[in-house]
Amino acid sequence: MADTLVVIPAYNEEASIAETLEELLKHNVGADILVVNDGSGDRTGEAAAGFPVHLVQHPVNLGYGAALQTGYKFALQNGFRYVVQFDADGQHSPDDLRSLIAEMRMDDADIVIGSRFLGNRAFNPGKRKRLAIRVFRTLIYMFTRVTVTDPTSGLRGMNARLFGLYSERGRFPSDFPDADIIIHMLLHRFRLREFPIGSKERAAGTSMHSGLKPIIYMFKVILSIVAVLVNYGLDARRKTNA
Amino acid sequence: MRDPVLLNGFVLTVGLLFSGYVVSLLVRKKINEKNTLVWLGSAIIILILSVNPEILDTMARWTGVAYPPTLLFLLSLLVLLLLSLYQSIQISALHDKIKELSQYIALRDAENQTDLEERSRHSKGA
Repeated sequence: MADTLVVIPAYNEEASIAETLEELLKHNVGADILVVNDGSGDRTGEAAAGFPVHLVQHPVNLGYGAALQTGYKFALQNGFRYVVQFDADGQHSPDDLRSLIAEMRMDDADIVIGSRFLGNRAFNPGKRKRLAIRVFRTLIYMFTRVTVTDPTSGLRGMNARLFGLYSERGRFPSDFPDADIIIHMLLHRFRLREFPIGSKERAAGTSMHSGLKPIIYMFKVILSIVAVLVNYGLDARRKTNA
Repeated sequence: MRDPVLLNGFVLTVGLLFSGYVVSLLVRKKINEKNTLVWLGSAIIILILSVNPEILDTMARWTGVAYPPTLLFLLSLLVLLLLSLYQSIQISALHDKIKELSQYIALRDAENQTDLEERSRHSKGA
């Protein structure tokens, strides 16, 4: 068994999951692969079952964050040292995944994020999404004095210290963990590092960031950030009182 | 003023029907005791107010509300607000429990599946 687990949360991805897995296995990234089928209504589970990968199937749809957390729990139970997350829709390249795993194994950071902006100066995710990314970047810098160029990147790796913490109940949001989680990590003195990746266009399916959604999404994350900050403040006060 | 007895009778009937329904739900185990308490509490308040409308007038005088029935609306709105907030809290807690349960089941299932596969591989090898 490898020391690294690639977690692929998949919800209704029957069109692209097989291709993504084929590609990954062909490139031999040197890690175990876990597909978390998040209660898909289509044949995502069946499509993944034919491959030599681990498969965990939620009986009902729980959300992207919950699927990731299931991956953390699986990694914890099976003694993996690193978890890297990878999207099922084929938006990341296996080469980027391989470099992410190599970066993780350097052991100089608790979380490593693949940044599309560092890899490609001209990378343009679209007007609304760019606005959201800018807001998140500013907020993260404001509260932690750390610059994270690509806080919404889906290509991330964590070590056991971090995914062990987030596999605990009530520690991880079940919808979309985002800038709020990054701020949480940085406030609790986990080490974060980014490295450049290239970004391909989506192979199939629709992006979760379209229409008015990015704006609503942004407010949701800002609210989560407020919760993280208040919690952190309360924790600090409790510690000084004790 | 028009016939207040008719109005009071109406409110009383509503209050009685409501409490009867809540109790019947409890008996048929459609809601648990904790929730019944909240609903019965509001039914009792309705009953008390319908029997003694003067209470409302007195309270309105204390709080400086010129038209007593608006105080009734304000109070019922606040109670409903609290109730729905309480239910939101319960839903979130249930949501969290369902998530934990589903993850647990999914991970157990995957574990059993691997065990089965390994056992069949061993028995084939033997």
